[in-house]
Amino acid sequence: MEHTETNHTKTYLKIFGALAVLTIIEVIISQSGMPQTPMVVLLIAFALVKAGLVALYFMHLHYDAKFLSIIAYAPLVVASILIFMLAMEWTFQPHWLF
Amino acid sequence: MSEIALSHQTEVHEHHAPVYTSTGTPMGKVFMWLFLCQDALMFMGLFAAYISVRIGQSSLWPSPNSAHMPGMEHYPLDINLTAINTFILICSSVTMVMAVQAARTQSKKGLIKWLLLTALGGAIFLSVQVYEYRHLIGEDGMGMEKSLFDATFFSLTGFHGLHVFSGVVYLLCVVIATKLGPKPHSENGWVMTIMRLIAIGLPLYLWFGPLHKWPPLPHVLVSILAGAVPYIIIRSVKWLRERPAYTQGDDIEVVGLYWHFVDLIWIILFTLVYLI
Repeated sequence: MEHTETNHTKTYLKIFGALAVLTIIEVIISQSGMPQTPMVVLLIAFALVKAGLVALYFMHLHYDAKFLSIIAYAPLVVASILIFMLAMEWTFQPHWLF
Repeated sequence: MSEIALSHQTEVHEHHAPVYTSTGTPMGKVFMWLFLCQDALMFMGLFAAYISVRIGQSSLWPSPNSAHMPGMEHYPLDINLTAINTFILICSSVTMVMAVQAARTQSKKGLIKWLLLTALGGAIFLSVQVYEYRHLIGEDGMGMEKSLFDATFFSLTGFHGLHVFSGVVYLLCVVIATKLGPKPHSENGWVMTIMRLIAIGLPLYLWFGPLHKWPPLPHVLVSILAGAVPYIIIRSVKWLRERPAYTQGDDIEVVGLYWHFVDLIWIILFTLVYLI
């Protein structure tokens, strides 16, 4: 089986730099004392970006066959169902939020 | 003489030749992705439970901003220490991709070096986690039965820690298998039997020994949660038993997939449990 081998070292180092910088920013945000809602949104967005970088470049989803991506994204569908069900619960018990 | 050696080498490589799917993807990689898919579902179940419990207790839940809000509980977790630990795990992901590169360029020395550095990163991560647990349990008086914050914290980080532990075992088994080189057909001695017993027996002792004494975590639940770990240990033993040729970068990439997954889960866990 043939592989098109390329040296990805530079890409890996760039991703490493991005992950390190994002982690530092996350820590600063979490201790900044900013309001809860924007802080949670920002931190979750940063975490998803970091997780995406790891999956796409370190786990090679960016370079691999498409069907592997389908396997990888399948749990996200289940996760959205879980989040939907949790959201229903919060909707029916609004006192939890306040 | 050289012809005999060459034919033997070819035989060995054919014996361990990877199987590919019709899309050209190695079968081992597809199955590792399937495993990671179900493991991710297990983590998502835990995260969903965590979020649900946390929202239910939002006014009492300690967070890094607790200090800014009067009446909130003291926040016991050390974010800076864990951020350093996160950085170590990210570094180990980089050394892992370098190991895959080394395998692809057929550098046995490079491969062993990068794999050992990755395992070292995992070992340091676990050591810091043990230090953190000792501090939290010993000095802050945290415990599984104390509060929901404590129970979810130990469940999530402990389950992830088990993954890191089995990842380190996995990496070390690959290093040993790489050092020994592709296996001649007749070799399968008592050393392998002892290695298998250690690889399976030690984690079993760890799970079924001290853990089941924690009252809020029933015995059965712990064994189900730990279910992913035996799979990795069995894969480690498979590496030692079959010892695929180290030059096949695909096999190392499969190991890397597991390690990066552990890193990916930690990235989300660190944000959810420590930072928010």
